Amino acid sequence: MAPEDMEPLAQLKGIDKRFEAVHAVKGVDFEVGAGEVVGLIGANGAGKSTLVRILAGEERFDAGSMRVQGADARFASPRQALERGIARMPQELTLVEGCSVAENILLGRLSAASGIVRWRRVRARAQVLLERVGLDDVHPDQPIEELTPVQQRLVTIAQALAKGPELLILDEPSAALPVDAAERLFPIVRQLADEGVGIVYISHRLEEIVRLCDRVVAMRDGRVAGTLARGELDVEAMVVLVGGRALAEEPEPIAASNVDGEAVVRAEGLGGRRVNGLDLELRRGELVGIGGLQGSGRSELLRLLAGAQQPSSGTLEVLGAPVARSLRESVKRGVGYLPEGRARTLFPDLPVMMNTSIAALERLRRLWLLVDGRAERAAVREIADDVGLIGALDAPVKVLSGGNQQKVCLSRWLLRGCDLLLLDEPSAGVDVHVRAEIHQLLRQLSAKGITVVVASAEPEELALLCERVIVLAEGRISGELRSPFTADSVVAVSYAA
Amino acid sequence: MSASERAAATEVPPGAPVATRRLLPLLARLGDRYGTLVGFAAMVLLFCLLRPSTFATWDDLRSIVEQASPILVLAVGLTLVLSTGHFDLSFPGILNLASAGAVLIMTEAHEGWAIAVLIGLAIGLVSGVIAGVGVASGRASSFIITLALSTIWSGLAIGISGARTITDVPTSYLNITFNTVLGIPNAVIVAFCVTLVMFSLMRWSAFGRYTQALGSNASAARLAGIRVSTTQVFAHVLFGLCAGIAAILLSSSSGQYTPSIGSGSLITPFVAVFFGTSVLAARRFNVFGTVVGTLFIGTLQTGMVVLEIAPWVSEVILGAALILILVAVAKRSR
Repeated sequence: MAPEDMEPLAQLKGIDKRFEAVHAVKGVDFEVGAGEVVGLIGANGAGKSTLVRILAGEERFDAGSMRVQGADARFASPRQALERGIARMPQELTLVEGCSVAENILLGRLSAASGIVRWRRVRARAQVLLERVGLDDVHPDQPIEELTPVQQRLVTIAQALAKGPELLILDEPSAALPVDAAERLFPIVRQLADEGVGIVYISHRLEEIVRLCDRVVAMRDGRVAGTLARGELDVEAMVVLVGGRALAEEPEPIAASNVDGEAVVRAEGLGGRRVNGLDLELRRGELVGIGGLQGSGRSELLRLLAGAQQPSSGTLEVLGAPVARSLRESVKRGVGYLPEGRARTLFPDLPVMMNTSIAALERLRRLWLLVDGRAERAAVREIADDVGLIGALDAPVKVLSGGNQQKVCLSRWLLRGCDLLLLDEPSAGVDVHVRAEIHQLLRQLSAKGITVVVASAEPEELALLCERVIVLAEGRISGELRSPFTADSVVAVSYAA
Repeated sequence: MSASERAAATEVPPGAPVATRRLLPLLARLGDRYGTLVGFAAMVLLFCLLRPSTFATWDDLRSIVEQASPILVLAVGLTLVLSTGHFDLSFPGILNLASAGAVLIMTEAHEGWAIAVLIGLAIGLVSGVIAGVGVASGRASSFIITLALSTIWSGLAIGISGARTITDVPTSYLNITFNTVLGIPNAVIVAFCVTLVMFSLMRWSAFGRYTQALGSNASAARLAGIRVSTTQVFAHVLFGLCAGIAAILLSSSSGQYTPSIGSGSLITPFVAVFFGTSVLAARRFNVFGTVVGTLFIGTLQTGMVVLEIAPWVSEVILGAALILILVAVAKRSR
């Protein structure tokens, strides 16, 4: 821990930043000391990322002052920030497929001054960094794509460490990871802090923040909404700081009401990649959760149901017919599928409107093949209002916050209309308030008779949302829970294989 | 005012930081939106000032538009293909083979101009199907596939024409572009119609949306239930047809087939299309921008002829223009 009288590693005072019409950061004070883990929380679009990007030299600030290690700083580039010991690990994985672990870790600093790569030295250096992030079991020569997602995430941390930072910014390191896998990050982060590295840790998962951070800064609408010290950290207080209000109480899941409804999905001895012979029956209007540990086959089961992958054994009927041979066929029959990760679903540079209407154009046509622009706009507007999607429909979808992007993904299937909605981690990387909104939306859909299947690594989410949870372990059903059940019971069944 | 005060005032004019902070983004935004159009206008003005007697006359405008017609047909087709996120470099070969085929069917087989036109279109169509299926089926680069295709067509054209220049083209074929309707050259009318069709497709049709979706994120397009392969094939087929039309316009207006008819044509449609992405800060491939881009090139080329600039210089200028446009667009879309 840093002595009290020492100047902090980095200190921001009254930082202000505008992007054209958007006032992203409004007079923010922020500091990080050596050996300190500072949590940075806030809703999507609250200004967290802009703030850390300023700190890491990726954005300039309009007003205010920044001091790094006791001297004034005004970085023009990430390189300048790095020279002063600040590195940011971005949210997206920055790995090059087809390259080895060692090459990835030391990307950009492979060669010596002579321009020749000394492979033995590279490997040794990579080995040291791998050990620092707890990946002793990974060989530097292993191809990067053989690693699990959490191992890849740890490799990106090693990448950042290779630059020898004294201040490390971790921008949502756990967002793309299941909760159970994310746990592996915590001891590593703590260890780095104990070695004297100052750490800024951004996350939407408040439980994580409580466990990991020495201090938490909450942002709202570009301002600091409050700071909590170690002793004051608790989830409810943080929810209020982030959203300006307590979280709306989520209603109890409706106890399986439609048990006698027609079967929408029927599987017998279903097998495929990571799925080993499971029997399954989902009924019309059910809100079903798929739980289980990482690698238990959650995502793969959804892919099978969506027709994105063909079963290798057993029978599978979806919406009264054998499962479709292709995604396109599935969509035509009324199956909506959102895989994990918004980036795989959205067209980043196309407007929100086109992103939303793309699957429903056949319905919005007039005059042979032309799209009825007015009907399209009206339909998209209506759905956007329903899901609480804020902002202009003509803006490229990539400028939207994560929560709003997720709403665009959902809106696409609402506009298209579907009978079976398959969602893989629908609330990953969105803040708690948007998550509650999405949950409410899913409840309404289920009440309308749409079968909603939610795969989630978060037992809390499943317990909050679903009337029935099917828990997988190693591709088989290890248990089934009906409402009411607790998150702990989901965890218990997950390990019960 | 003391010296030190004056020094302070010149260094940091009071109030200026706020003003520049407001003014600079505004200027940047205006430049982003209208920069290329202003540049275009400045170029026209420059030519007018340098050669007021020949430039900016009605005849000159007419010849610019007429000469730009085949380029426009190519460029709007290219706009569609590029919006799917793929390249199509097969058109120099199509231009060559389609004009050779059309001309030879008249001079050797003594067929009429209508059959010649059909032959030209058919060659474009076949090429488009092959390119589309090749690009859609595999993971091979569209760049290489279509480049290879262009080479094949050029080779075949040399084969069937014997690498001769053929000049005894029937007048009926020449009349395709020589004739006018209400004083407007046929070539211009054809180019206008093709542009209108492409504009409607890209702006209002589901197909146009699918091409853009494909270009933005192909796997997301598949997830949304779009027929990815079919869309890809259709884009190349339409472009192949455009190249066929351009071949007929070119050979008809020049009144001959020369083996060099397709060479040197590669760069101009690309300049037009990429110029178009910078018009009104569109950032995406769009037909309206492509039309402006084609007129830009037409004016530039005519202007350089009027100013008696050596042809090699205009080649250098075209290449440099493409690089400048690409760099400017890439920088702003970051």
